[in-house]
Amino acid sequence: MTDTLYYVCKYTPLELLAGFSIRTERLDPAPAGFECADSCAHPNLCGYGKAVIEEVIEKGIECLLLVDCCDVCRRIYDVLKARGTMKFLFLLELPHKQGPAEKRLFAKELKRLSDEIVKSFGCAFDGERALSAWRDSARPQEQPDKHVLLTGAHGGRVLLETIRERISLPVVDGTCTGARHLQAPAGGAFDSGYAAALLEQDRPCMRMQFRTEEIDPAAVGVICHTVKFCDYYGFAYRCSREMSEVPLLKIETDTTPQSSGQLHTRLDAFNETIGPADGGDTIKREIRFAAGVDSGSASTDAVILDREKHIVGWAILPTGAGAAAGAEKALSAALEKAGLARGDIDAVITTGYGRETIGASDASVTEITCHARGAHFLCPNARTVIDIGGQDSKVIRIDENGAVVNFVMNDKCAAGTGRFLEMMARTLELSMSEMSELGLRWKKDVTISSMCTVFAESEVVSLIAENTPPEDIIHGLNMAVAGKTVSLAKRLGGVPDYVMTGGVAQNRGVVKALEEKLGAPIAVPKEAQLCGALGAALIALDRAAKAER
Amino acid sequence: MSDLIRSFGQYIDAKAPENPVYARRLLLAGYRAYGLKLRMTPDRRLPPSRRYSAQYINRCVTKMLSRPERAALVSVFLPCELLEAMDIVPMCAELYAAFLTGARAEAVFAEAAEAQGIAETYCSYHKILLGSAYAGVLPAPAMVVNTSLVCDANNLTFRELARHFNVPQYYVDIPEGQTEENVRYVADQFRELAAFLQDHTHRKLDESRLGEIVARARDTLGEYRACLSARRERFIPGDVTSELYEVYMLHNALGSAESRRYAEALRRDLEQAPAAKGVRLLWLHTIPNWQEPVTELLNFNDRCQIVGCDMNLEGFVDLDPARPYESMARRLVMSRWNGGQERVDAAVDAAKALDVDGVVCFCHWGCKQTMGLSGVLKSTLEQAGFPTLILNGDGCDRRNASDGQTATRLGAFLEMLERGRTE
Repeated sequence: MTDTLYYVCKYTPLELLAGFSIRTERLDPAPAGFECADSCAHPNLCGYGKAVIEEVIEKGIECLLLVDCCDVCRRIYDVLKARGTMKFLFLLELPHKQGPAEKRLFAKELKRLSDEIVKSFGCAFDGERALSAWRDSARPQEQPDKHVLLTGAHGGRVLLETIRERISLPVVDGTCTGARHLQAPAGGAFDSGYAAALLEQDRPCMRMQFRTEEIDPAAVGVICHTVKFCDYYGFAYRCSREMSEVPLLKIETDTTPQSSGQLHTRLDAFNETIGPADGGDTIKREIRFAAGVDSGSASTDAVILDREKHIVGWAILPTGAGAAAGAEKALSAALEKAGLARGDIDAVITTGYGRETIGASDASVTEITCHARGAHFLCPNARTVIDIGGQDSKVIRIDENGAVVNFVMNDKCAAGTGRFLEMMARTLELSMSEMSELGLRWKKDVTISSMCTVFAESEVVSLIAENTPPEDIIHGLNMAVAGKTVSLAKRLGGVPDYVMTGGVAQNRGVVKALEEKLGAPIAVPKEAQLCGALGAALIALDRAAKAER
Repeated sequence: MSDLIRSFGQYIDAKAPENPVYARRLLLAGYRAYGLKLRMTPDRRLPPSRRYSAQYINRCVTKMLSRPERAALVSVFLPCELLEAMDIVPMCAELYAAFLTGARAEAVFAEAAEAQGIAETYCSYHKILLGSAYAGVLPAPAMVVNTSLVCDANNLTFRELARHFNVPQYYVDIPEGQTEENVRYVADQFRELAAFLQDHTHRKLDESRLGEIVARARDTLGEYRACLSARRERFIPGDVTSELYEVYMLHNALGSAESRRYAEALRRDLEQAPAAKGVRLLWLHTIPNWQEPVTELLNFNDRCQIVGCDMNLEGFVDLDPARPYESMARRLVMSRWNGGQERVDAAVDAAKALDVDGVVCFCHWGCKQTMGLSGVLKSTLEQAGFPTLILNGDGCDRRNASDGQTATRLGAFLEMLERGRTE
């Protein structure tokens, strides 16, 4: 057999395989979707597991070495074995502990693998080659002094490239498949010490009972990556959150290119948090008027400020089909309100999901930084900003200067966002303003259990059928949204004073439910919906002032 | 009753964040009151064995909450003969979470765990348990003892809770290969566990008592084997919760006098039961006993019932009281849930042995162990002639399941099986 042997895990005995002179390649799947995997496994398997199944089937891979790192890897093995198309498929049993008994057991497991390789590939073992590969894997690894550490679940080449593109500092890959470094061989032979070295390699993965969380002193920021439906790295994130004194970002992917917009926003905002406040923009020193444009999923908002930071014009318009056209319309409407022409505006900063596609701006800044700046301007004592917009919700911790300390965002489903409330309003046949008012007049506590939009809608339909008053249903929905948001706030360690921004801040029922769940008042400035655009315009003025100095 | 429980759950939901110790007392009082009801006015539709298990398990839960200082937090698959021999109360993680769901109080704890960064997609049993610990409602046990069998959540939850409560943990690692060498490896870990328990309780293990307990476990499994043969031909009225209670009886409680009493009573009930009737189902994995469409279709229904749950069919190995450590190890290493293909083969064997009309593979939210295997289970069972429904849902968290979807899928499947029986 001369095929390439693919592998996935850092506990794969690559040095042993080198001794057999087998061509190996790490599987780094990034499929567009999971058509095959969803049908032969289950849609709720972790994205990485599904991606491996998809890649093996799509590319016709016939030789695969898996390690029983987790339930999903074991299930990949079962699914591929049941298909019966693999020439070589091996599941390496990896102990969870590192005592002498486990090392002996693992050495025997490596022997079982060697026997299977000899049987299937028909090649002889060269101990010198294996020893040389082991020495290579034990060489000290250089690490940049000041860097961002990517930790957590397997991210793969695509994610790492995306992060490196958007983060201005070097990024060190410390994910479960990234950091691989073995202790050097003690003697001059490839012996049973290899099993121990492989088992005890640096930075054990989360499934190892002996793993302890460590701080990387040279990291100025940590990005913790989790995969949807991966059990392990939520726990690592929790520990990092407790221990880390540097900014920490949690990102979740499913290995496909979906939701790149949300990922970019998070990375850019994180980069703004760890890096210098102003980027490579072209804002001139003297400024008469500055504009901020916030291109959101539901509405596009524009704010025009004069040099003294007075709002002289503003607009809130539906985004419509195109972000660029929506932004142009909103800016024109704000100019009209201010009685200004486009040429009077000296600096435009764009923000929101469409920030990079709008064009004709001097710089783009994430809505996280903009909301923080805007909220600080409106409520200088605010330390936690809750922003619930059309397609996502965010909680942002800010310092006394309005700089972002840390932030969290909801994951890509619509649960707990403005879109969720819109859909429920449609089911109840109410407008959003009616929903806001009615939500305050509830009498009986109704619990909406599901946060999945589809399930919640079916609960609402059942409640309607039971003649539950709409006021009570709306209150149940408001409490569900509040529960979800407060959960984010707790994850971040939110502290008073709280301020709420974004479109949902107009919904008084949600605000009241949030106050109840937080046990603290929430300020809702009248410019709440404009906060992102206002922050963008303020950042334009800040940068101009800095340039003047 | 359901309105009362709903109000109770809402009250716990409100009280837990501000006064967790009070919430714990309320829960304990609620479970005690329910235990009293089970004794004074048991459900007469249940046979005596099932009434007994309901009462016993209620006592176990009140004991774990009222005597945490004598308890070890354990995973459901951990053999507890050593704990029984040393009078240590098993605090079963999954049972505790299921009881919170029974009190309709699970949501506040699931949210508390998510607020700490635990993934929304994590197993709900474990998430509710973790959340109740973070909220301060779960009392600190004396120690944590768990095994890696059968899912990843065991590798995380128990380590995290040992850290959270700052109590010692012993972890029993189970390799997937079903070999005698692995039995020896695991047996040695049970010997270490015995030393660990003696160290931390400052009590000496009575090896002869351990042998007696393993002998009782062997006898109980023997009784239960006889029950399975009878279930092929008999119909005993039942509810899905009793099937779940049986999981505890055959795992953490195995070796106890109560577990044997239950198996004996079940055999007597089956001897007196009428001939099998209606649609007969094999259920794979946990059962959402909180969900109305499930209880409406499967509780006390002559038309249809669950005749076996594969969680209760995985550990039938020969136990040797003279070799207690090897016996406990054998139950885990040779478990028919240890290994994907083994579990698939076990499902087919059970479907044949119990002569079922169909199989429901329940994909509990967050359980990659079952979900990932569901496609292989379905195709293999259907090739063997057993129609199989993959039913997605949640064993204990109401937020992750839709009654409408469950009712439609399960109802349609049962109609299909009924039609199959008449044709």
